[in-house]
Amino acid sequence: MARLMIEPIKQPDRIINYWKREKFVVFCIIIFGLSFNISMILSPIYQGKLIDSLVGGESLYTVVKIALIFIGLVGAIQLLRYLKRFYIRRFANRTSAVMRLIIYNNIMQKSLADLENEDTGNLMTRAISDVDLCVEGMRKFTTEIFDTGVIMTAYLAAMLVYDARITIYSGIFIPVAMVLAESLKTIIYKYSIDFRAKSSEIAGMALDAVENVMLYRANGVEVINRKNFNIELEDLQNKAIRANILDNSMQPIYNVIAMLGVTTVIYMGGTKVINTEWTVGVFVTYITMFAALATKASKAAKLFNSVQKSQVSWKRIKPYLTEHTSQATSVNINKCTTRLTVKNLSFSYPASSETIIENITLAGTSGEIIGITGSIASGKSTLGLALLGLYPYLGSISIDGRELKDYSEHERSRIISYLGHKPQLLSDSIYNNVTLGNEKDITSVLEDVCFQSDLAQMPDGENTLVGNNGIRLSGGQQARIALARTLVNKNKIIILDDPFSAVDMQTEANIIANLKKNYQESIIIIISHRLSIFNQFDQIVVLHNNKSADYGTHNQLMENSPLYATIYNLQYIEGDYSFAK
Amino acid sequence: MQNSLVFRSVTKVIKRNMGINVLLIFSIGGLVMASLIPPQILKLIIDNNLMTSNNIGLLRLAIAYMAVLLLVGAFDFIKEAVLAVLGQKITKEIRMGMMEKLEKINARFFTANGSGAVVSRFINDVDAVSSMFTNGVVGMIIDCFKIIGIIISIYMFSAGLGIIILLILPAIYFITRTFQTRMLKAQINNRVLVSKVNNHIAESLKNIQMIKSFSKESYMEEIYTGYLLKNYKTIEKVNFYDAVFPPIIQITRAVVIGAIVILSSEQLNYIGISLGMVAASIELISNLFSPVENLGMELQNIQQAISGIRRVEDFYVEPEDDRKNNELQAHDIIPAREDIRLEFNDVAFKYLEGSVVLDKINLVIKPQEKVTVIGQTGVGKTTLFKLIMGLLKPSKGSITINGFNVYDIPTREKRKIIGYVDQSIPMIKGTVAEQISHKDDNITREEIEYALAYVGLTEYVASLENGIDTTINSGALFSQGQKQLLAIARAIVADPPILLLDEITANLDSITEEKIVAILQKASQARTILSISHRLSSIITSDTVVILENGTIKKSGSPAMLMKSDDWYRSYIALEKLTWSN
Repeated sequence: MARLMIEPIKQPDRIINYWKREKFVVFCIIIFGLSFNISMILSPIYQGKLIDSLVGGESLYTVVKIALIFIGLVGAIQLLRYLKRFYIRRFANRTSAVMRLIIYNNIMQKSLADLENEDTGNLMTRAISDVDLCVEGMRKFTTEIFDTGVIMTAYLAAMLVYDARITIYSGIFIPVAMVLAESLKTIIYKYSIDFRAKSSEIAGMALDAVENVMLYRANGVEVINRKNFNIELEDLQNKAIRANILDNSMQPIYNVIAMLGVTTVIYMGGTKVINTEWTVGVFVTYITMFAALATKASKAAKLFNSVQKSQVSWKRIKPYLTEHTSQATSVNINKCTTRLTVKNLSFSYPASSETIIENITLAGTSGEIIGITGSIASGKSTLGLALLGLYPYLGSISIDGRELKDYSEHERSRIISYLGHKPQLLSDSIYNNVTLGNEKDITSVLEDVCFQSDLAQMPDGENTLVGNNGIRLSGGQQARIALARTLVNKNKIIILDDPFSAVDMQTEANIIANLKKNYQESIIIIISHRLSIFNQFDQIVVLHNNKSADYGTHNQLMENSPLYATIYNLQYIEGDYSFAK
Repeated sequence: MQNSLVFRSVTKVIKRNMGINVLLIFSIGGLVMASLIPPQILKLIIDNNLMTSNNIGLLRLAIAYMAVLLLVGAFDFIKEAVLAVLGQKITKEIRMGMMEKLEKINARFFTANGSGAVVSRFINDVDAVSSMFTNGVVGMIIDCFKIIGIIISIYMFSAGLGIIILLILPAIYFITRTFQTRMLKAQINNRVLVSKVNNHIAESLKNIQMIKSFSKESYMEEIYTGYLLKNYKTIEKVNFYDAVFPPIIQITRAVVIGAIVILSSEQLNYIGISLGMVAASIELISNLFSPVENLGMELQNIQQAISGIRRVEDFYVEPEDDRKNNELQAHDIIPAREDIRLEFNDVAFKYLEGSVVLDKINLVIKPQEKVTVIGQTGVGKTTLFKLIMGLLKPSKGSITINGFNVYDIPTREKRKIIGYVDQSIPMIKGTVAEQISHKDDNITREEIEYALAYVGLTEYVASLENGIDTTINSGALFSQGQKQLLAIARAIVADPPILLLDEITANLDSITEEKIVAILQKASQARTILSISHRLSSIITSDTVVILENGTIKKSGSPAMLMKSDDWYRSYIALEKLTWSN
């Protein structure tokens, strides 16, 4: 049952659907909300009867009986109250989980290009605090329909039954308090927005001061900054005081205004007791009800205020509440030998107009390793990303005779695997980081990336948790786990961007040997600026800053590409020098 | 206690606002007293009027009842308002104290602490501390008085009843605390899961490229659903306590009231009080529950705020830089621009944890010499610059300008001596002009305009909405290259005779790069230049190259000499010219 609870809904951008979805819970809320709030009037009535039993000098048996009824009644009412509270909270809890899931789904299904245009911090705020605020508002709204609407009506009705005249005379101030609170609402809202804006400005100033502390210190302007900070803090202090006083301190004032009618209640009610129209018990009952009504009324404005505030959050998350989608998982992949043909490939990032790579042409078949190298900003990483097919490209990338664009995202992920600069590990176990949910034996792939001796040191073996961002592993271990993840499915095309930067040269050579031996079915593309291993590759692409490229094997390039030959020789000297130790 | 920032700030605010304090004490006293009166009036009404069936004085009592309620409201309002004022003043005082501390704190602090965490101390922790004072401590005092007042009132009706209440009180407190601690435990469990739920979103966004390339959106969603489900279950537990607590309190109250009525019935007459007193006692007992409940919450708030206090205080006792020699002035140190000797005298630096960053650095830089420092990443080049700027103190030895120790130079004089061009090009909050002046009043508008013209940004800045007074709201206003030019303008605005260039020009287009090179060449004339290896080191000619290795100077000399004698340097320069990664 638990698994069924967090499921997406249809038309998640219509708020009413969240209540409709929880039919049983909402039914319980209505039943318990109504029964609790209506029966609440019985408690003061029986409290009055208790006092009357004393006045009337009833027998001990009767007094005890009424006392027990009173306690039992309160117990029953409070049980209803508990159920109402519980179901309202369950509604909020479920709604929040569902909303979070839908927003998460929406974010994850956005394309990489779209996500680059989104502010990450903003997305986080929406998925986290806006959902909280919105659901809180929905909960309060649901609660207050009963706890304010129903109960005030019930009290008012009971009081009218006791005495219509007193009720009308004494209750006259209650709407006054509500109207006053309501009219101050806009001012309070404005002040509290001022305060919050200032508060985040101060947080921004503090962040600026801390982040640029060395810069400010180097320029000797810290004292000036402190003076400015003092002025802004003074402003924040005044805004905070204003907002606080209006928001919290006014509460007793509203309450007093709503209670103004109590004089009428006491005088007229007291007179009725003296004239024996009322008993003392009824008098006490009536006062208790009146006080409860006045308190409720004085708080109503504030409660509805918070509901209103949550509407802002709803508006902010609404664009993210779209129908739940999941990807097609049908696969149509050619099982035979892989053929990769790239013709006149050009590429630029969606956000800019600058072309990074131009007119790249190459071809490869299973069992080949293709090396890509080039100077800083020559576009070698970009070429790797372009071959991955996550972004739109110009020209042609064809795999087994079919254009890369025409494969579905899921098919593409089954054909190509890619390792970027960062290991991008999840805070999970080594096993889960390598398999990503596909149950599989990972012993051999861990051997391929030379991880077996590392693993032997870990008491939990493959179940070792890697920590946030892989923090519990060394840089070299992180790189090799990420490499293992890229290799584990032996995809037809494996693209590795600078996979060995955190790995020593001996391990690098061992891994290359394993790749050559165990990945005969795949085309492996390795991007690097370190050329020491390039002599083992089947073909090499050298990218120039002017967007031209040299193609060939190591030996061919050593002869035909002056740049390649120069770099290889220079690195040989430098490498000799710095790795000799 | 004397050194505690929180303690000092609180006492300072209290001392400075005597009038407000008196008002606070007055309103608290008034509130506690006044809120005890209505039940007494109710007793009088019942006993004198209702039970004896005469209406003499009934109207007076009714009006008095109302008047007392007004008084309670007024006192409550004053108390809340005064607390808001005091609380905010304390907040401000603590934040200012922290800001002052920030100026003096040792530069090492920032390598060990992320800025997010430091800002959170400034904002969240200080808020928690001040609300602990206003809601926690003062609230607790008020609630204690309220409880005492109610018990005394009841005791005056009947000693027996007073004693009964006194005995019941711990029971009520015990029930309350049990629920509150269980609830807190459930909340803490829940918070762990909430952070997992939130972290999963952050992690998904951070690793989005990997997830997309493996097409693992559904897998990530499954994990997320798992966290949501666990989170749902822990919230359900919190909800149980949250839902069940107020009903239990109400039932307890009903039991106590029932018991009092039975005990005061004619037959038992155990307590021996009048009907009015019974009604008043019921009222008083009803009022007793909320302060007891609050007491538990306040205790909890104080406990939670203590960790906030600790974080604020820990920050306040962080080691500080040594006092600067405030007498020193830039023109005393540098009487003539042409005559500057920068000397490193056996400088060593290590972080407190022990790893040596720099050691045995000896170097004499002649007036207007151009020096380039190269070496592999992590070899301590940036640390060397921080030492030159006096931001860090050498563990051993000293760095001097014309014999004056750079560490003693007061910060306000520094930018007149050393200009620093940063590799990270931070933009501060403020206008374009303030990017250059850093809001330093000593820098005139003319100087700012001159600096802008110097780096060739005058025209572009003039094209902005408000010229040099345009506020920079987003990073998009200036390109990467233009930011680099602004950083140069910032460094030269006070016309310092020494310029430090830190690994500039990364990811610039070639046109901007040429421009920057030209400007740096212009700025280099008639200045002492120290630059950290960057791609331009081969373009801007240097007199001396210093090769750092393992924290010490491996070799230094003229580029020509090193080209001949050092293989590593030769291939380094060759690769750099080919713009190949090193």
